[in-house]
Amino acid sequence: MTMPAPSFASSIAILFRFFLKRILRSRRFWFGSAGGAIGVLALVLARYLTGLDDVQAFFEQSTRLAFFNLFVFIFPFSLGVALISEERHRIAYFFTRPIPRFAWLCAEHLAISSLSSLVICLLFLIFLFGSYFSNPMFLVASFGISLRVMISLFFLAFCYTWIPLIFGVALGESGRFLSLIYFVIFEFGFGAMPFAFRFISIGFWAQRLAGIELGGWMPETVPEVGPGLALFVLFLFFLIFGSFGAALVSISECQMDKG
Amino acid sequence: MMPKVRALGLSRWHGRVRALANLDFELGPGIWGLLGPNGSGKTTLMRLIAGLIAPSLGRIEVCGEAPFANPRVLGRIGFCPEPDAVFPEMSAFEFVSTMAELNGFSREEASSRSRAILEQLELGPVMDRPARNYSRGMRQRVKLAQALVHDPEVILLDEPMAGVDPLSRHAMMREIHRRGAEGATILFSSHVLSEIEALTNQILLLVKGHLLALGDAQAIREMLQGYVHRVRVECDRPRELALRLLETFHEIEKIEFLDPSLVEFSSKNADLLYESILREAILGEFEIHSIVSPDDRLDALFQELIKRNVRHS
Repeated sequence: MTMPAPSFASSIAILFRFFLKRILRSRRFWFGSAGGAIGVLALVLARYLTGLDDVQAFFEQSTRLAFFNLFVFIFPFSLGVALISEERHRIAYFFTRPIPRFAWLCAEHLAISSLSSLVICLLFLIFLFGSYFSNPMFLVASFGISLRVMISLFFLAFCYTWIPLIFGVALGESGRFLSLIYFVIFEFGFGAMPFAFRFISIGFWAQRLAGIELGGWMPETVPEVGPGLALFVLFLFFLIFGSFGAALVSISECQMDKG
Repeated sequence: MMPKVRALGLSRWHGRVRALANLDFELGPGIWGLLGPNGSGKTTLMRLIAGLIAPSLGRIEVCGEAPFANPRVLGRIGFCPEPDAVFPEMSAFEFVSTMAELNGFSREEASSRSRAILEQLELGPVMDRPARNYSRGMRQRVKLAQALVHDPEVILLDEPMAGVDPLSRHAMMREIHRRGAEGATILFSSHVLSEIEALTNQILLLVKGHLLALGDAQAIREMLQGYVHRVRVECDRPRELALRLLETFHEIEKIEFLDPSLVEFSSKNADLLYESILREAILGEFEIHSIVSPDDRLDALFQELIKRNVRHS
């Protein structure tokens, strides 16, 4: 019996529900979240044990190192590569349905990035309230920047999720390693460089949107960028990666000729 | 009637390796067995028909259109891939009903269809448990269920019986038979020739990417005219029968006594050999227990065609 194919949006909704359940039932997700929570609690503990007086400096350094350089990379990356490598032999189930192939990639992306950003934002809130519950004035004063940090992390998780997915679709198993190389070179390498080299890193734009102090090598040489431009560039990165993913998954065989 | 699957000069390379070479065939409704040894191109052919990969040369058509990434055609195909891969976190019901929804059914319709097909495949009691606890046979049935849930016109089953227990095999065979009888075009690949024999006598033989034969077992036997056929006779006096046959039938190539009551005759003229054996059996009043030809079984034909292909190449 041939039925009219579901619309693009319905296909994404059906697949999103499916992938969300899969991720929520996976041990990897819960172990990762628990690991992240332990890391954040260690950070909170460090704040009290070291008795740091400069609350602003601690807030900015911890946010940059723990959230922008670790959590926002590790969640989309680990969930993305796991899903792609597990999907190798299952992709045929989706690609033999009357739906655009891009719907599959979009739904995978949406499930990973929404869960990643949710966990990261929850971890950030634990960090914020854990570190500063004794200093409610700082909590109130930092409300604006905290909100900007969470929005930036949200956008960054959405951009970062494309990278392991696209590499996985294009290269299969070796996509894991190459996406890691991409992160090391373009995100952590260029993201710590002086001058405008830093513009290549998506993480740099997210940090500019958040409005936190820059780290890395000679941050004073990096040209000043406003949050409006940062938001626009992040959106541009998202669109470029998304379009590339759409083209790739629609015209390529996605490693289906192997094994 | 228009064929459901048509290949026209179909070729496919994987890098420098030629997986399929210039195939031409048409498949109409019914069950078709796809036979061939490992590396013969069966899975590549299945993936081409399922629209997962595109031809390097030539054309493949399903219901008159090229299937590669073509949603119009894909809704009419049900594909059961060969790898033993289901989603361990999901139950059979969740998986199959999601697949049905992706074929355009509403959630309610997808649920009822999924329950029905899983019941038919005798997975009712376990359909709501996560698939990580399923046996191999159950996983194979889940894979078959997702391929059938939307009642496709073209069903592609890539070694669906691999590693399946007899109970699962029976349930799967019954369902495939039913779909074939209802008019679906089913292409079924297997290494186990008895599985093909139990389902159909329409076969495609693939060896090293070449289509060696297409048709029923009888047509393929006719192709084998000129090759040595064997007939085994189990009787009370095999040596006497052999002697009588030697005197009257001069096209015997070889006589072999397999045990005290079993003799095997070989000849290029199978029909005349049968006739002569029966005539001598009646005239000599032999007590015949059985007359069989090992060449009647598909595996014998298969082996013969492979040998023939090797000789030609």
